[in-house]
Amino acid sequence: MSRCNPKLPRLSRLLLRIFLREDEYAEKSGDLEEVYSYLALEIGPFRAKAWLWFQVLKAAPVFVLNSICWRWLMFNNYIKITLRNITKYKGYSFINIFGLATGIASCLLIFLFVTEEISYDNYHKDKERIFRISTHYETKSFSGDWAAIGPAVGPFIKKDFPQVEYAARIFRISEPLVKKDDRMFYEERVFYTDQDLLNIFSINFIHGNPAGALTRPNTVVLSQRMARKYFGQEIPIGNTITINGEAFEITGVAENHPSNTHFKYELLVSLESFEEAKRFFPNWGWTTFRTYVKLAPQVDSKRFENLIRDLEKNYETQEEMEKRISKNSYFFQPITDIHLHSNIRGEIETPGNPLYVSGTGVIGLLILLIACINFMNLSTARFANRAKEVGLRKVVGAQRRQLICQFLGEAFLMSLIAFFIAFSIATTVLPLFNDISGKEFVFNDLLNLKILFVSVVLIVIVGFFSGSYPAFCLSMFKPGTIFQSGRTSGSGSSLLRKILVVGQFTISVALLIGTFVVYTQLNFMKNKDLGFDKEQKLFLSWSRNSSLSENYKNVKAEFLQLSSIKGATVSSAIPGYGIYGWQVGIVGEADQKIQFFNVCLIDDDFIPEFKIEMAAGRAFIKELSTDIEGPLIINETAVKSLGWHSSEEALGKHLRGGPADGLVIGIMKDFHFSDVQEKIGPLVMVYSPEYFDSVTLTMDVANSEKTVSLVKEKWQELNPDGLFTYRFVDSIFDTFYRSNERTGKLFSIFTFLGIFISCLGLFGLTSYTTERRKKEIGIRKTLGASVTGIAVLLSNEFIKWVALAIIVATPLAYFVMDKWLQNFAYRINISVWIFIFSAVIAILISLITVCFQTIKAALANPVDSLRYE
Amino acid sequence: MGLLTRTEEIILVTILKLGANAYGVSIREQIHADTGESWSFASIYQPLDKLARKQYVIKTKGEPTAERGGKSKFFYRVTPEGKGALLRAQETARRLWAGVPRILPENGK
Repeated sequence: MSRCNPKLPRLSRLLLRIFLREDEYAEKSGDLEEVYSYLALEIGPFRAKAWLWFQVLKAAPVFVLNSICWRWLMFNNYIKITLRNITKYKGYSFINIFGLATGIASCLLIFLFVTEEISYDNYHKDKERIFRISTHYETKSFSGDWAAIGPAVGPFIKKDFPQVEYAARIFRISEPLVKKDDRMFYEERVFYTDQDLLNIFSINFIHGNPAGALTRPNTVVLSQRMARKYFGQEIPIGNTITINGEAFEITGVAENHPSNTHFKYELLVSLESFEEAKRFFPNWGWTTFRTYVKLAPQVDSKRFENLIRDLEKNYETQEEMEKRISKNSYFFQPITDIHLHSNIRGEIETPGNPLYVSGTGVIGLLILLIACINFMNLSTARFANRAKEVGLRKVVGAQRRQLICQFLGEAFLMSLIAFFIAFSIATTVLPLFNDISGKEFVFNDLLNLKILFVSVVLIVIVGFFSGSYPAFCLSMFKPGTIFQSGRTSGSGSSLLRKILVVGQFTISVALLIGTFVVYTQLNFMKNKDLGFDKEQKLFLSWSRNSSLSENYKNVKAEFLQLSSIKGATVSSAIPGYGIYGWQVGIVGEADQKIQFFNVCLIDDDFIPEFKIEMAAGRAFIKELSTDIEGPLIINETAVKSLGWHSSEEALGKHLRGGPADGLVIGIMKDFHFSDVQEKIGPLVMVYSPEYFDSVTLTMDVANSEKTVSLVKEKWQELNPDGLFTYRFVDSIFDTFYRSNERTGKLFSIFTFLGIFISCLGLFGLTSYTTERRKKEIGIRKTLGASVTGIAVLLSNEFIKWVALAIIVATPLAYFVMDKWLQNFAYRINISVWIFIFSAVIAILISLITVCFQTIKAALANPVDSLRYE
Repeated sequence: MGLLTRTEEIILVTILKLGANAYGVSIREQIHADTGESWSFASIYQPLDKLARKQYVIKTKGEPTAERGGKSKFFYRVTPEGKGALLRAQETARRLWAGVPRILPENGK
C-alpha cells in the first residue's frame, strides 16, 4: 500500500456522495478505497473494480434506506418551515404563486392553440407525398394564384405519369338541401370527389368498405356526425339520403374529420354523380376543382413539379387555348403547408395566419416570461429576509449543501403549487378560450405528453432560478456577519430587479397600446360608410334550378303584399354574399384590358333598394324591357381599372365576360360589396333573371320577429319544397368583423393579464422595499417629514421605472402595430392620443398599486418601527 | 431492550477484540479471519449503524492517515451499554444451553 492510492472510480464516488451524509461518505469511501487500492495491486485493477461495484451495489439499498430515514426528519422540518413561510406572508405568497399560475395558465392555452395551428394536416399518412396542385394564372395585365385547377388535369396526370400514385378532385356543393324522411337541413361541407381521395387522405371508415365506396354514381359517404344526425343509432349503409332532390346510396360512414385539417367534410359524394358538369370534365380551363395528388415513393416533388408546370399547352387543343384569356401554369403545395403558408385565393376554408400564430406564441411566451420574472423576483426578495434563518441553521450545524437543497426544494415546491393552480385555471377558462380562438379544445387536450414535458421543464427552470439566489448566495454567508448586520443587503440584485420591472412594464404598455390600436381600427371599420344601406334587410335564397327564378316578378309581388315589407329585390347575390369573379374584357380591344371583375346579377329594384348612389348614367328601368340581359352598370373602381379617366368616358363602352355582354349605361359610386378589410374591387351589374336565386326584403322595422314569421309563411307557400333560412344583411357584415374582433378580444385579454401580472410584481416589490425602509421612514417621520412627503418619496422611485418602460414601449408598439395595420386596405392612422392615453393608464394603474403600500407605510406610527432599536 | 442479533453480536465482539484499531476494513477482515465468512461492506455498515443508533458503539474520527491517501479512518468503540448488552447475550446463551445434553454427531461418528 505504499504506492499512491488509486481513487475510487468517479461514478461510484458520485453514487456514494448522493446517498450518504458528508461524514458517512468520508468513512465509507475511505474504507472502500483502502481495500480497493490494496486489491488493485493484488488482483489487478479490473477485478478490483468488479469487486468494488459488487460492494457498492450490494450496499446501495441500505444506504438509500438509511439516507431516506435520516433525511425524513430534516425534510419534515423543511416542509414545516416552507408552509410557515407561506402562511406567515399570505399576501406575498398569494401574489407570488397566483401570478405565476396565471402566467402559466395563459401560456398553456396558447400552447394548445399554437400546436393545433401548426399541426394542420400532419396526421395524414405519407403526408410528405401529398400535394395540392394549384394554378398560377396570368393575363397580360393581371396574374395571381388560385387553389384549384381544371377537372381534366387530375385524371390526366394520373394516367400519363407513373410518378403519381393517386389523384383526386374535389368540388364543393354550396349548401345543398339534405333530406332523410322528415329531417331536412342545409348542409355545409358537402363535396363531390373521386374515389382516390380515400387513398390520399387518411379517412378512416367506421362502417362500409372504403374500396369502391365512391366509384359509382349516386353514392355518398357520411361523416359519423351526419350518420348520427340523420339515422340516429342505425347503421345507414345501403340506405338512401336525398341531396338537392336526388337520391344517394350510402356506402360508408367515415370518422369525423379532426379539427386540424383544412379539408373538413361532412358528406362526400361520388364525382360520377355530378351529371350537369360531366361534359366539362375534359376541360382544362374551368379552374374550380381542388386537386390533390399522392406521389409515388421516392419521387422528387420539385423535379416533378417542373415537369407538369406547363402541362397545359401540351394537352389542350389549339382552339381551346385561343378561347382562353389567361395562361395557367401549375405548382405543388405540400398538404401540411396549406393551412398556414398558402394563403392564395380559392381556399376551401379561410386559412390561418402564420403572423397571428407566431404573434400569439410570442405574446404567450412574453406573459410567461413576465410571470416567471415576477416569481423569481419576489422569491428572491422574500428569501433575503431569511438570512437569519440561514445563520441559525448554520450555527446548529447545517452544511451548505443542505441549505442549497432546502431553498431549491422550497422554490420547486412553490412552482409546483403554481403549476397545479395553473392547470385548474386553464381548465376553468377553457370554454372562454374556445370562444375567442374559435377552437374546440377539451380538458384532455391539456393532458398531452408535450404539455406535461414542457411543464416539468418549466417547473425545474422556474424553481431553479427563483431558488438559486438564496440557495447559492445566502448559504455562502458566514453566520457571524449575518447576525451582526441583521440582514444582508441585496443592493446588487435590486438593480436587476429594477431592470426586470422595467421590462415587464414595457411589455404591458406595448400590449396596452396594441389593444387600443386594434379597437380603434375595428371601430373605424364598423362605422365606415359602406356606400349602401344594409339596415332592415332580410335575405332569402333558393336553390338555383327552382321555378322561382322564372317567376321572380311574382315572388316580389307576393312578398310586397305583406304590409310590413316595404321593398323587395331579386338578385344572384347581395353585398357581402355570393358575388363572384369573372373575366371581363372590352369588346373590340386587345386582351390587355381583360380583368377579373366581380359580377352581380340584379333586377331593376336592386339599386334603389340598397340605396346605391349613381355617379353617372342611369340605373336599370323597370319599363325598359331592353334592359334585361343587355346593358351593364359598373362601379368607379371598374372605370379606373379599365383605364378610363372619367365616368362619362366609360358610358356606352361595350364589355363582355361571363354573363355580362353589353354597353355600359351607368356608373355606380364605389361601395363595399365584400369584407371592409379588402379594397373595393371592380364590379359589374347585369339585369339577368336567369341567375336569380335570392330575394332581399326591406322591412319597416328592424329585425322584427313578427315580420320574419309572416315572411316564413309566405315563403312556404311559394316554395313548399325548400327550407326556410334567412339572414339579415347587416349581420352578414358583422361576421366580417368577427376575426378582427377576435384579435381585439385576444389583445385585451393579454393586456389585462400582462398588466395584472406586472402590477402584482410591482405591488410585491413595493411592499418589500417599504418594509425594508421601515426604519428610515420612522426616523424621517420623527424628524418631521409629512405623510405626503414620504408617500411621494417612496412612490417616485417606482413611477420613474414605469415612465422609462413607457418610453421604451412606445416605438416598439408603434412599429408592430403599424405592420399589423398594413393588412387593411382602409386603415386608421395611429394617433398620438393612443400613446398618451396608454401612458396615462399605465402610470395611473402603477400609481394606485404603489400608493396602496407607500401610503400605508407613511401612515404607520414610527414608534412601531423604531421600538426595538 | 431486545436481544442482540447474531450479526450484531459478532460485530460487537470483533470491535472489542480489535480494541483501538476497530474500523470498517479491520472489522471486516477480523470477521473473515474468525468465522471464515466473507461479508460485504454493506452487511457490516448496516448493523454498525443500528448499533450506533442504539448507542452500543460510538464512532470517532481518527487522524488523517497516509495509507488512506490523507483520509481519516472512523474508529468504533463499544460503549458501556454495548458491553452490558454483550454480557446479557452471553448470559442468555449460557442459560439457553444449560441442561442441553452433549451433542454428539449422529451415526456414532
